[in-house]
Amino acid sequence: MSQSIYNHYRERKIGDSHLITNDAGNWCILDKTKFDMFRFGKLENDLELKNLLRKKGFLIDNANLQEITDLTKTKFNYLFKGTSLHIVVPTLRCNHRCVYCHSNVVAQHKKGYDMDMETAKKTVDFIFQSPSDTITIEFQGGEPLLNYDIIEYIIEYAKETNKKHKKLLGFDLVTNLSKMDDTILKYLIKNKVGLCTSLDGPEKLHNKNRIYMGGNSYKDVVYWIKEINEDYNYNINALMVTTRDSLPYYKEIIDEYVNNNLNWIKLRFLSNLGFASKTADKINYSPKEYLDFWTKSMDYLVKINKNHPIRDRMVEYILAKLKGVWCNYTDFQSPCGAVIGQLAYVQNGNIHTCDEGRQYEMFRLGNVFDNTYKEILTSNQSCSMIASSVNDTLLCDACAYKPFCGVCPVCNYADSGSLVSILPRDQRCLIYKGMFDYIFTKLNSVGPHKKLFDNWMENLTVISQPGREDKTASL
Amino acid sequence: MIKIDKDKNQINISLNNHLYNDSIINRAMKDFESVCEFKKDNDHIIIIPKKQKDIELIGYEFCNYMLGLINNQGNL
Amino acid sequence: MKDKNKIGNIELHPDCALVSINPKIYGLDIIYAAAYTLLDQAYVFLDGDPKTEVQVHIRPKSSENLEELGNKLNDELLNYAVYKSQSEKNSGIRQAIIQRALLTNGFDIEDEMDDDLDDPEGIAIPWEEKYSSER
Repeated sequence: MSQSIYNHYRERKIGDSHLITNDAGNWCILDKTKFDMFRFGKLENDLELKNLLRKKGFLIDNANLQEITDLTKTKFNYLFKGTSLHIVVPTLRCNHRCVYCHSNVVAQHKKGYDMDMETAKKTVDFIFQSPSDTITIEFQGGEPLLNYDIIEYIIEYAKETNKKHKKLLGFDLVTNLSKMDDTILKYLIKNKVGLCTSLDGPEKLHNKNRIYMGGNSYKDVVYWIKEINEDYNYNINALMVTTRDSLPYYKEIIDEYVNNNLNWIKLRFLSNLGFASKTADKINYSPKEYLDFWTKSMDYLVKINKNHPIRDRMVEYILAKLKGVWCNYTDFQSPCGAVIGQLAYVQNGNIHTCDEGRQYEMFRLGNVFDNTYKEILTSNQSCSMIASSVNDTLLCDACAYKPFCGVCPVCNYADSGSLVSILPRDQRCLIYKGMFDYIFTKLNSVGPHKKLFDNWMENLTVISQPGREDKTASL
Repeated sequence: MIKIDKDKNQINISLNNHLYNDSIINRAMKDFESVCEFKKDNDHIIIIPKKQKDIELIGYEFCNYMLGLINNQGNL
Repeated sequence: MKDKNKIGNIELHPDCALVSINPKIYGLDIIYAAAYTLLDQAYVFLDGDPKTEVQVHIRPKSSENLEELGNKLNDELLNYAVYKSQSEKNSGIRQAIIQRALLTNGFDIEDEMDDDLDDPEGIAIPWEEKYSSER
């Protein structure tokens, strides 16, 4: 190719301007005049524009073809690393009854829902069959600390096993903190276990969403956040899940995070999984209602940021995608990362495609006692699941946000009974589109939002190497 | 055409086979069988909802569902 | 039919809009795609002759404006027609870049020849090589 040829691109109106994106994940916002020059092939008169479009891969020639290929390679690099995130469920028992719980938990007193030592050992043996040179074991539940002995066993056995494999090994724990004590905490800190909990907002809202049989969930959470941060000088992160009751309280929720000295917030929207599907008529909302809540939250967060530099996780994930740096947020990958990026192991050794996939038999791939890693990865079922998570349907392929976005077959299945969603009605699609629209509109403006988002883009906190996950990647 | 017959508790749909082929229709009928019964005669379908309250919308939802299946065909 | 009102190719009735489309200008695949985008806002039903005129019946789910829905369908017809034309034109370059990116991912050919690849499970064997005898 001696002359430039046009690469494939997609377009979307952002206000009066035109956003163009390409498969490599590059993007440009052009005013109408420049966009018309681009799309009608009249670039001879504006060399600066032509060079910009070459640099971003909208025009391809011999000089930049390798660079565009390398960018594309980076995008898909995670496909070749082996599974690095391993979600282990030590128990399905829980002492909370969160109204949106996606884990189909059972009551604390139930028997037969804990992982035993033999299964734990087999699970770790299976995990280390992954060729990934980074392994993160993330404990979820139920409430994992209800089977704390197994957590400690897994950590010790994994460390021992890793002496032979010499991988970059890390651990994370997702907990409601109700069963935390100083002994456990010291052990977790000694082993550099990443900690994450849930804080849904002020006390009344938090306790309404997260019903704790044995006490006051909010009090436990804020007590331990303070202890961990101040007395132990260790980091703990928190997330919240937005329910209908949350919608009027965006300021109070953000203030709660600021008051607890948390560095970032993630305003998760509901999925139709687990208990959430049964309580939907009480707790769910439309995509429009959620986006209204989310944009108001972002506006408020920008407003207070000078004095309280708290970040929004979703904005950072999006900015990382726009910048073209790796962050292992599987919702924004295509294929999504199920199987190839993460696997989930439940208490009886069953292996599922991902954390969300453990709700359904359809997403069960095998068992640690019966299958090798190779068998699981190369099975027809795994290949089908991976294929179904590629966003190559017609509406996705035509969407300007395709290079930054992804689909979730588990959520599709929960919503419609099919791995492939009916996109015009897909809640996730409508919400993510709204988020991308908001971010691009702000990036194309002048004002405090652009200034802050540019700063965040320059100093991202969600970057990880492929395989070394952002600690909350699965959340 | 979609015609709702409340007296007989059924919805009559005349489908154009050039636009909705048999495999799509049969697939949609199978997916809806938990909420209604079907009688099919060439391009004419009679939908009998299992719940009376569904009669207003189920015919329209069925047609939307078929359109969804048509568009997702390559991905199913 | 009462209250019939025709604006361009959109016929407005009390409870639905009827959009007439020439399938020689917009093929069936484009019509399906454009109609599909309305599923969250309306009930959509297709009729007519795919050789001469396709009619799209649009019945709003709530209080959407009928004319706006018809106009949206027309916009989406054009949108997907352009998308289809561009995709066909660009499929070569897209395929070339993706293939090149995926086939060379993770492999620096010179280094690979010197390293011992520790792969006891045979995971690094490409699927094409592994399954070619099984096709």
